[in-house]
Amino acid sequence: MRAPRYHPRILGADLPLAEALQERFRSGFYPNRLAAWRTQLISQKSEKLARIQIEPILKALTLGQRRFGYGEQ
Amino acid sequence: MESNDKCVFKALEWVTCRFPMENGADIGCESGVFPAMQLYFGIRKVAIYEIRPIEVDHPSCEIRLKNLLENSQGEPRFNLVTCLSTLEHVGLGRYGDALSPQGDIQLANALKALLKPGGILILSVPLGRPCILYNAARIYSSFRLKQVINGLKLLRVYRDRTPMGWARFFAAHLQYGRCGWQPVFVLQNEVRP
Repeated sequence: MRAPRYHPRILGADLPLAEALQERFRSGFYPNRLAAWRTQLISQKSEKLARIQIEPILKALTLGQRRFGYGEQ
Repeated sequence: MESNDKCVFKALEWVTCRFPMENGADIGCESGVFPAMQLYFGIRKVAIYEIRPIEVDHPSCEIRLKNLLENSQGEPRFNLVTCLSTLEHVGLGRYGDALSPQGDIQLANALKALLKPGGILILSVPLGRPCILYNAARIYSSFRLKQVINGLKLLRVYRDRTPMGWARFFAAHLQYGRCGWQPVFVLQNEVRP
């Protein structure tokens, strides 16, 4: 069986976590594409308590607002 | 001008007019828009599933700090679950979750288990030229999307039909790494009561 072709960047260890991720993401999907890897990792892990405010959104919906910025970035 | 918010609003409007909705859940709530929309359409109790610590100011909303990938046993079942722009991030570690290449499929299975028989899942993920934009998100092909929604019946699709929406559609399909096009799928748990 022919071995899958991986992009050299995936095989190298020049990225944080690359070694640990290598095998696990190989079993994922589309691992051999350049766009599969970015050099800048994003972290949105948060230990701080965030507060979600429902009431202002409910009021806005009642007043007819339908756009809240989702899917517009 | 239509946007994805409006698509979700229309999807909820359509669903709540046709199916009895006692309770709902939102997965990966960031701003509170989708729990608020559920309440707006008369759903009395909304559970908000998050893995990051949050609190909410509304008595009809209940926070459930839980990673559904690790344990979804013993969870209540819902008439409606919204999972919007969340699934594509699961298993990539961006939000402090464990790395898992199949995390999206695992979460999708957990969501199916949250639905009551005949329950509705409102889902959106970015579609386009498929890849993992590690560690930001996945972009789905129709093949992967079928794996995600396997076992659910597709009832409706809402999409942004404005010129900007079409621009996002073409950009997503012509270029790698563009994930701006996210139709909203209305899916039903096929197991009937």
